[in-house]
Amino acid sequence: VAALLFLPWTLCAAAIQITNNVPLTFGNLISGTSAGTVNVSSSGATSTSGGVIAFGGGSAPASFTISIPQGNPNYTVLLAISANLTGPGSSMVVDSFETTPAGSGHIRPPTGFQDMTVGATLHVAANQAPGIYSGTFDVTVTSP
Amino acid sequence: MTSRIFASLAVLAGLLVAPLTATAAQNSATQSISVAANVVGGISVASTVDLDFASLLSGTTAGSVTVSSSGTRSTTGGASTVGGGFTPASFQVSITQGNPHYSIQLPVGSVTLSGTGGSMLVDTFESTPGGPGFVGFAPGGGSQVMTVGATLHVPANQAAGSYSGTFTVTVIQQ
Repeated sequence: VAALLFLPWTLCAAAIQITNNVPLTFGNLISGTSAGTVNVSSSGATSTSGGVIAFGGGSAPASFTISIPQGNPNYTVLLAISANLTGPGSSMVVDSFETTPAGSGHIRPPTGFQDMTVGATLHVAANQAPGIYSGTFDVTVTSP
Repeated sequence: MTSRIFASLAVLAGLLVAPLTATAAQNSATQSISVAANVVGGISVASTVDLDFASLLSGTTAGSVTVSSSGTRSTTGGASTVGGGFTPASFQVSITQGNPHYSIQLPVGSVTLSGTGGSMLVDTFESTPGGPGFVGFAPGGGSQVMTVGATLHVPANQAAGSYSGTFTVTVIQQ
């Protein structure tokens, strides 16, 4: 009975965890008379298309840390398909989430953790109303 | 005695189930990460007329020529002016959406005019409307005309020729 009581604690220590969450920020934008997009890549580059202007810096990919203290070191990252940002105007869609390093991998001992960055694309409508827009997206990490 | 054994088995079964449930839950972690974007209103400034000091004569002493944002021209020292044709710069500030208030940033130091005979400095930029703490107002997607004047410093015996340069005006939506 004593051995069985100890077992759950061992499994808890092996739990896969996501920590050190840093938000994904698209920074300052000016919407134009035509729709456009702003992409912040997981490598940290910002680019635009269409009628959107990004200025003043302040954009950054999200980041988080996967830790697997022990047990199976393999992991797979599942990202949201899309997210909605709400604010003063109509909501904006964020999609095309991607990570660096991509997809899946395994954590090598003895560090037991892996830092990840996440980029995505924000779709901005023509004449998008000014203001701060925010939302969330889910990241799931599984270990077989 | 018999009943005691049964009780122990029940406890063992419960403990065995608990670790399996825990294992299934621990192999996956989900976190919600926030996303933010700041859409600012659209503001633009376009140059419509260049600042022109027009024709002038340098003297045996240094001097200056000022073209004010209100459209007047004056001189100091050994510089004198010839004819007309001078004009302050003119800009159009347009705010397409968002906060209709804006501020203006003019060059703080000097800019250099270069030409065949060397270079000259232009400084003391000022605008109409403008001034310390000025906040412009262009409501309803409107635009506003802003004129900019400055002072040209003419060294003694400055070589004859045409001199030109550029300066930058920045408008900031509040």
